[in-house]
Amino acid sequence: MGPRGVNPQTNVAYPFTVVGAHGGFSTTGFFRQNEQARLADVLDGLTNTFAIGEISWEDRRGNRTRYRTWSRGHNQNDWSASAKNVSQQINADYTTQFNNMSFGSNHPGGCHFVMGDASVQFVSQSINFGLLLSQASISGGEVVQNQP
Amino acid sequence: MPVQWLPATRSLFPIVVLVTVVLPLLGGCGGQGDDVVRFDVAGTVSHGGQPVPAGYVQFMPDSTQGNSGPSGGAPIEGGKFDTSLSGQGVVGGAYVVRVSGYDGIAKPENELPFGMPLFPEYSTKVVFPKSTHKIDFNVPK
Repeated sequence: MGPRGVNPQTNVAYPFTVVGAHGGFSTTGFFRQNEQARLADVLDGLTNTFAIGEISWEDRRGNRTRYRTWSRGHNQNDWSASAKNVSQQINADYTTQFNNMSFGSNHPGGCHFVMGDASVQFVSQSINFGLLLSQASISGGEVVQNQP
Repeated sequence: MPVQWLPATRSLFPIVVLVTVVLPLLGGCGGQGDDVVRFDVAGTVSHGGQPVPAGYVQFMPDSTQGNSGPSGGAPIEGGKFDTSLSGQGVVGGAYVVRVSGYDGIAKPENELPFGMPLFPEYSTKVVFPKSTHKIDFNVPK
């Protein structure tokens, strides 16, 4: 559930493990591979940090997005069905790398995220990409101002 | 006296229509919800001169150059991409481009719907104009 890209505050790439053919793994998200984070580790604030995201769309232009449902869990050093990287814009027509599958819904305009404090936010698909990555990291130190 | 009110009532008619008919249509479900002005980008993607059968081109605003905005991108299909089909163009300015390419031969047994990767993810930088744009990417072999 962590970001894949550059921290817009520090201009340094977020920590990431490049492995396998399915897109690798972020190492700085709320849920991640072979590690656990405590709520106290969420230094960016529970209200500002994604815990769970929506991938409720079935396909994009005929290409499936959910051939591995989240309950299939995780394959060591390869793919993850339950903890994906925030790597693409919301509702992007992206279906290539499984771990980087874009979050999205069948509703045009955006999709829902559960934040670390268990609140639910509808996030616009036109969100600033740096802000989207910022909210996916738990301790990037970014100054997050939520878009209305 | 009611006769004197009639012209005033008539002049209010467009406003009444606006409030009761038009405004409810603007809200609610529907619409693209994209309040950012985007410009479409289209072109070709090749690898060592050969068209890339499948993959994705992503455009991320380059925060190291002070640019910001939504990320754009489009799938590569038969060596071509076009953000007018994906609906996610660019806002212009400095961007980091990520290109992934696959051989397009689906491997259902390995759950690789686009086949094997042709090259490690390729990254380059582009400064886009604030207008629709054509650009070709050649990933070196």
